[in-house]
Amino acid sequence: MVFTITISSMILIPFIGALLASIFRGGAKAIALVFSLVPLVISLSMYQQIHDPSTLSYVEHYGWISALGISLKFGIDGLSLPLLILTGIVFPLTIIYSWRLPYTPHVFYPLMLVLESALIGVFTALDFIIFYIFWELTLIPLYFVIGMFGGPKREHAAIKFFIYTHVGSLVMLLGVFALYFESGIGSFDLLSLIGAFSTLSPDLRNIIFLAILFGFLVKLPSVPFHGWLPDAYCEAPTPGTVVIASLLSKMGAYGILRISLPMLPAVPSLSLFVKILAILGVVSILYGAFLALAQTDLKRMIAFSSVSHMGYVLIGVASFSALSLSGAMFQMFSHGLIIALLFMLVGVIQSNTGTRMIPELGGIANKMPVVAFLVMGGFLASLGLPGMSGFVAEFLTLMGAYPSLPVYVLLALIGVLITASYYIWAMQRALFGPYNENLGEVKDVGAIQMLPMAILLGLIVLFGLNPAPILKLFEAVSVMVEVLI
Amino acid sequence: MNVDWILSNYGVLLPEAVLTLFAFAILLIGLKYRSVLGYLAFVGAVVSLGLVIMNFSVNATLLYNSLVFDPLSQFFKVVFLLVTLLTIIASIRYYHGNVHQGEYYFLLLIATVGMMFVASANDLVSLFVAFELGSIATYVLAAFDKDNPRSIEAGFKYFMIGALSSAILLLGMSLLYGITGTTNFTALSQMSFEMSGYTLAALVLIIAGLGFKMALVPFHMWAPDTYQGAPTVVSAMLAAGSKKMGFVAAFKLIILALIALRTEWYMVFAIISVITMTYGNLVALTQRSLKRMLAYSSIAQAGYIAMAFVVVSHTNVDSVVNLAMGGALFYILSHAFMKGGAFLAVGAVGYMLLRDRIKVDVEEDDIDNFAGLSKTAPITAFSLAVFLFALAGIPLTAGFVSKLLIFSSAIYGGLAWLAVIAILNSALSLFYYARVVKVMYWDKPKFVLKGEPTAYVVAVLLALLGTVLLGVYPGPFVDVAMKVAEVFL
Amino acid sequence: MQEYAVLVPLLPIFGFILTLFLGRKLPGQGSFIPVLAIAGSTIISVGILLEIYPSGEVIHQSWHWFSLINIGILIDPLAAVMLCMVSFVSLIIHIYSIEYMKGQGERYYAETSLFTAGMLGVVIADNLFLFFLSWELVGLCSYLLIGYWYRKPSAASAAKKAFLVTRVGDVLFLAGIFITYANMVKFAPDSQYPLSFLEIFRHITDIPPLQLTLITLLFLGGAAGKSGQFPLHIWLPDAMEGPTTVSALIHAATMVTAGVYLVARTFPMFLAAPHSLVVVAYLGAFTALIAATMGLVMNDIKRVLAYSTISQLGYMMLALGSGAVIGMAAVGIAMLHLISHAFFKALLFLCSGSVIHATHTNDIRLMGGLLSKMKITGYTMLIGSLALAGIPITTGYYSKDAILEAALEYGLGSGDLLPYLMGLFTVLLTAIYIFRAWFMTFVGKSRLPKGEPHESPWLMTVPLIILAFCSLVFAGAVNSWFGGEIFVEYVGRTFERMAGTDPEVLSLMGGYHLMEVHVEHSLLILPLVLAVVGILIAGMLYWAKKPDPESVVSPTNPIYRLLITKYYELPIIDFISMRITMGVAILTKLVERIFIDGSIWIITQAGFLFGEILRMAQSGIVRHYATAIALGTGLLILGLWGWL
Repeated sequence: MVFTITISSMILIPFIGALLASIFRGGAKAIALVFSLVPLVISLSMYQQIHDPSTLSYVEHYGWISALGISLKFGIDGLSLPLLILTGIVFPLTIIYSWRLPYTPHVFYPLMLVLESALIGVFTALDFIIFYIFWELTLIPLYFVIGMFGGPKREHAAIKFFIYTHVGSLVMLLGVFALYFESGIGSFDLLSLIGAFSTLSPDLRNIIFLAILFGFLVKLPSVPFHGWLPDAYCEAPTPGTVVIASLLSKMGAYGILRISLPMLPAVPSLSLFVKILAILGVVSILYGAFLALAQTDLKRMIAFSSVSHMGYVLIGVASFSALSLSGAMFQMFSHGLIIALLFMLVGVIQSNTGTRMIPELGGIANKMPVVAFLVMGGFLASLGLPGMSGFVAEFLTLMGAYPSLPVYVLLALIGVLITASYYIWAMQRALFGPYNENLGEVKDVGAIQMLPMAILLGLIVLFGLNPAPILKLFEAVSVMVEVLI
Repeated sequence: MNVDWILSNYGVLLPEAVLTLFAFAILLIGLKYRSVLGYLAFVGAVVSLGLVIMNFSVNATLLYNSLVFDPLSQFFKVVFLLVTLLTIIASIRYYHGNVHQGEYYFLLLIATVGMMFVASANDLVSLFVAFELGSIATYVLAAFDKDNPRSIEAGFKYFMIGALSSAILLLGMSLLYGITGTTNFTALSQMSFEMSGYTLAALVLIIAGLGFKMALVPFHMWAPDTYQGAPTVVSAMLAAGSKKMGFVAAFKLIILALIALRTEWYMVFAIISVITMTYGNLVALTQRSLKRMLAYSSIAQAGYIAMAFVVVSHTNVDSVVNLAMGGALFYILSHAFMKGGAFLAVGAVGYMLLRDRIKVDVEEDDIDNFAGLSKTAPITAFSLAVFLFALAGIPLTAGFVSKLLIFSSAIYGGLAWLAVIAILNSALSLFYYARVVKVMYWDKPKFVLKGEPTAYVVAVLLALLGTVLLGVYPGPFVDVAMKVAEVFL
Repeated sequence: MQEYAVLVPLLPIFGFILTLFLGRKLPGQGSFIPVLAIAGSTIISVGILLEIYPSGEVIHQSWHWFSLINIGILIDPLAAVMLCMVSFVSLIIHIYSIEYMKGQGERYYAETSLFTAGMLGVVIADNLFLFFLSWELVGLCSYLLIGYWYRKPSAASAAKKAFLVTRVGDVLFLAGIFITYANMVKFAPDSQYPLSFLEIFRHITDIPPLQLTLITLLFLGGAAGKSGQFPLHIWLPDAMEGPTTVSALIHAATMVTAGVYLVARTFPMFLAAPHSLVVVAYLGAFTALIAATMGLVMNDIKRVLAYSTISQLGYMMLALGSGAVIGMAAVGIAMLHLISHAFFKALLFLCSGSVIHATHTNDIRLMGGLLSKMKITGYTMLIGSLALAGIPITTGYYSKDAILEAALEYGLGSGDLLPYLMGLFTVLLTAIYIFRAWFMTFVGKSRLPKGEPHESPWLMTVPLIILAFCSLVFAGAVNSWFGGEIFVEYVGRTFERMAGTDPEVLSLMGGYHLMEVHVEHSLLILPLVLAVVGILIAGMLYWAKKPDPESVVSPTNPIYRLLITKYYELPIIDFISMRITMGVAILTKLVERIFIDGSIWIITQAGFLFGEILRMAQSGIVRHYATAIALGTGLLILGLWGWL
């Protein structure tokens, strides 16, 4: 049979890989690496062939529960494709990164592959229930990854993460039900439902919008719904943290952009919700930044920086400007790369020096120049240094949002300042100064772990200097959205 | 009168007949050859199941319309027989070489026959008789391990409360007869009641009597003790099968027969279902004994299923009723797999402890004994994990689809508040299910087990198959459930 | 040459990459690579200047980059002269570094090369985005090079301070860019690249003047950050922790002038923005004065020069500010001083570097009498000091006098002489502090504890001589000796070939009255007089030692204390950074603890509590169960009865 490029194959192949990896225990790693690469290949070839990123392509449609009009429907457009590429990039790199780490291969790698399948499902599903199913499926492997390979407080963290986000999803599901039955279109087809949203009664629209938005805000996460985040990020093993921070948080952003945003114009108290979104965005940016400033644990600091950075997405949504939206979307992509790099680095620092507490480190640039170089790269990228992908995203988001939300943008700029200060401060304390002899003899990062991080840094710079290849997809979509608004 | 005539008129009774036949055969053969009994019972159940499925879409009445054979009854018979099958398979190992296994399988099959008749009953009398047949057999089964005091206690409590409930049920039924002068459901469904204390009393007494079997709060209190004390295979049977007998009886008697009293029992079930699910989940949070935890979880699940009553009584829009009842039926089917499987998996662990003579200073089903089960008994652990996630309603399992249907029906019926409560509950329940998975998967094993017992593994895997199949490819099954539910329109 | 314009910033980038990856293997850590690359840039730059000088034309090349950002180069007279200065000075300093930074690791050469690329990028960027990108790139290199000896805690913290303080400016600059964009999309929706300078200039008149004021003041904030204008000057003295060549290149000649360049680059906007130029003038004059006062008391030779740099940058701002009266010519004057300052300040730093190289200390109290041992260094530094003080025939004399003249015209024209007077008084202080340093270093008897200092090798002295030559002749040659103010004329006309930059129209928008002010020539002698007086004072105190300086600058003297503590800089910074910022951070941490974590904790605990309570009901006694059933049934009946 000839292999055709389909979304279903992109979802199934990692899953098959998971089965194989759990059966052929010896080759688990190799199998995992190979199968995790397939989605990247497929998504890149889709990138090659996609004609009009503003509309859906590669649509697939199979029946599932005809009684309720639930069907397996998939498709991609300019919004989902970059996220698929990101998924395809991050997973293989994470697997390479974990190559030498002491995780039971035939348990760990299958879980990662299942997670990849589920994520691809989320980014491609065009039926609300299917979307929700994949959305929830991401929790199971992560629950195991955190719980089986995590840090000292892993049980608490795992269950907290599991239940907190589960509640969010359930509220979202309620909203979806209401939308489905009230609209009475008898199908859970994503776009039809969004289309039918405007036909409902006004106050119902408000409630449904809020319910669905809540699920996304929890995943994003946006302050004040980020309670699950610090522990989940800090207790998870490095690969788990990488995936959560880099991809799981994008599920929330994706949901907002794919579902909530098209609904927004039909919401009766539009101006109120826009204000709420903008406020949540700015509060996340500032609150996250200040919290990060108050941390002494590198991993926690980066975790909160992630909260701060996802706030930009909300700003972009609230701005209603195509420029800002494309910036916010690009922020998803770029943050995915940057945060992955940062958490990988923290993992290396912790494993090689035995601590990730900033005060206990110090002058490690003397002993681990490569790590120091990468950390500087990652931190500078994350604080939005021009020439790195993060800057393009934040610049476009804020500049595009300024005409409609001047005050919020100016406040967000304070966040930019704080972000710079905690990163620079951390670098000075952890990397520079005289070497802290209490750490004893530490060795620099090994080649296997350096490779994925170097690739990530390379991509960050590449997309910082030439964002067009990805940005143009986002622009196509965001222009559509602006028209729609 | 020749065989053809019998078959043509009473052929629909064949499944019950076959099962009864096998039951007595087992009793006789049991005197001599014990080793074959399990397989015999298995064959009987399979044959009977085959017969039921063969004429699934039958539509007949017997004995002056006191028995009715329609998709609804057949559906429940399928559920009962499936549960019985699982129980039998597991029992083959559990009661291997037991002197009394003849009686055991006899009672098991007879209990099943009773339940099947309940599914077909269309008259207060036939219902009560079948109900008692199904119940009394299970009382004995619960107490079957007579050298285990807990088992005795379980059976005893079960019997006491059961007797009380039967009395209550009977009282309710006689009141109903007194008011209406008929015992036939079809006739009852055409009645129009004038509201009086008697009617209310009759209604509530009937609900109380059946609520005992469905384990609805506050008629549930026997359940935890019994499920915990009884032999685990029997607990599986009770939770997954006999409980559903209560539901089918309630469906027939309350929804079909007393539909005219909808507005009255709306309130009753609204209160009961909310209390039941919340109570079950809250208490389950702090259980250490897994069987007890499962007992409370199945109380909570009964609460979810009972939502169907609320929805149906709240609206009479056909599509809503269909969705609610279809959901309830689908839920009952999947609950048979999830809960049956869960109990059997727990039983497997207890069995292995017993077999390997491992002394534990806690109850055999204490959560500590499940530490690191994924290493010592991978299949059991994995299946149990799936069952628990299914009970929590995680996607791609039967539990998710069931909740999807029943919760959405609540919203469809305009009972958003109920759906919200239910959803918060299922989020809450995730806590104690996930905790067990955590113990099994990332705690250190306390002891080594010498391999998993085949019979249990087979039974558990069958249940697993059902759970996953209903979750991954629910379409046709949902259709069947909805089709069956059309009986209630 | 124009077709190679793109190579000007690209060559140093190649230099950077090659040096970074191959440097370790090459002789002299590949220090020659950047030299060659930058030599290339210098040749191209000069070539371009010679090409476009006669016609005064403007080179503009632009390509699409992404969304509404283009990547392009704009070489007008302003950029051309700046290009030549940057590449040339950078070249000289790179040559000097070959010897000075020998064996200090190839990273240094790579980073300075990258810095040069960034600086050249700033100069030729044709839009705000590219400008800001390069602007941040030089900031990054400055950060890296200040912290070059990162094992030294002081260096690490100086680098941090530099990055964060300039970051404040950058954020203001960003805000300015955003507001520019907002106005462009509002008032010039048709423009394809709203951030390109030419587009903006074309539409200045469409933008409301007060918006322009807001924008330009924010730009000025950015400029203040980079160019160490008050109050963001605090990072520059600490930046001296870096190698001296870095101080010379980045913190004297080029990067710190980027702020001035920004104001010059967007001068049409300033001219059209009410009040902005006045603010510029005051800020410049005040910075010049206050920095000079602090320069008086420093004992670290490099810090003296650092404060002098701040003060001189203040002069340049003052020059731009006086554009409120003299118009576009201000740009020319500012640039004239910018370039001549680049020469003599680079010279001074390299000299101090040579001294430090020889004596292994920065503290002028430990030097003295070095002139005999280091003749070239001593005399070249003397030339630099004279230029800084503004003694005739040196470049400083012409350029600084031009500024003071402009300031005077501004004063007379606007009737507000304060900026001029501050500038004037600064001349006196300048002469004092620089000659205090020179005398303490080179004359008197040696106070060196140990070691026998000797002249530096030719690779270091030759650059000194070249720069000394420039410091002698530059401004005079280009602007005075050969008839007419050629330079100021040429650079002042930089905007003439761009659409929408007619000074008359713009100044009308900005509410400034451009005029020809007649200046009394006798007044123009004043600066020279003050400079000479300053030198004499310095000489009496630190050469003739009468009165003994100790009697004046004793810690008991409150003014001295005020100056030596840099106007209580540390407590203030500490208050802002620790008290306010960290305070908020700790506050948020508390909020997180109490509300976010707390709420979750309460919910879970409540769940368990209820569970336990309800569990009590399960007594295990059948009698209770029966009671429950009876009660339940009864209650239901009653309840239902009541309900109906």
